[in-house]
Amino acid sequence: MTRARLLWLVLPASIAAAFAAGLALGGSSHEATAPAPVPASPPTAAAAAAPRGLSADEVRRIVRDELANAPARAAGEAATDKADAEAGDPDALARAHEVLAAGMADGRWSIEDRAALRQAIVRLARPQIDEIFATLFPAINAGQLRLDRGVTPL
Amino acid sequence: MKHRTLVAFLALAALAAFAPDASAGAKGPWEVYVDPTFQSANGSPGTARNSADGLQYIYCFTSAIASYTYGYCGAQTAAGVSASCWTTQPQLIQAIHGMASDGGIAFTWDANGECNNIVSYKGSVYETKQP
Repeated sequence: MTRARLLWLVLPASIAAAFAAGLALGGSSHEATAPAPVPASPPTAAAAAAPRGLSADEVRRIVRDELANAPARAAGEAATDKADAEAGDPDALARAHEVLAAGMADGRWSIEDRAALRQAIVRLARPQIDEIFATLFPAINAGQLRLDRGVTPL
Repeated sequence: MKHRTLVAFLALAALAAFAPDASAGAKGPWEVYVDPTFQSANGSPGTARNSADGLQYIYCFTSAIASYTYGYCGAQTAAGVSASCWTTQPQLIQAIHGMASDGGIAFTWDANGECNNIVSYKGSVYETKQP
């Protein structure tokens, strides 16, 4: 066998062995370092955020809704507060009437009566205060309620 | 008509109270007067305070309770006759705010005890409050 013929026999065998060794050593690392498949079109923000819960679009919608509803909600709360203020405190109104009735009964307006009325009227709504005043002052002016010495009506 | 009568009455009362004397400038006193028939009261806070009877007073104030602002005027004579009125009318509340410490006050009221006229007098004739 000549030297040239021997080379033709060894060379393909060496190439085949090298290929087989390459497969055996580098196969797993090839999978680990493979780039992610390129999507056909760029992912939308919604698709990108989807695995975390709310999408950016959903968050935007919620914020928009909140902003849109905030004035109405604030107005609703203010209306409730106003309604409460307009309604006044029924217990305070009852107390104010009680004080007036007691004063009328004995015909005197004492310093205690005045103090009790002052405490009550701060918890009353405007129409209720009008109501109390419209009872108190005519009674004083008609002489049905006499002020104790040094005592003013309010 | 009733209003005109009241105004005339108040003006006459003020003039009569401060008729000038020969030896000095015109000056008070102006005792507190309450007229239940005409539903009016008037007087000088200085004279009321300086009086010896311990009963007279006349004053006005304004008060604010949350959103409710009202004015009040009250008076009591030396005989213990008292009168009061209250108002939520801005013009009348303004009249109270403009009152002088030593001046004169007159007010009238209606059947509900609401003030319908508040007069604030200022001038040299009114008695100054003593301690």
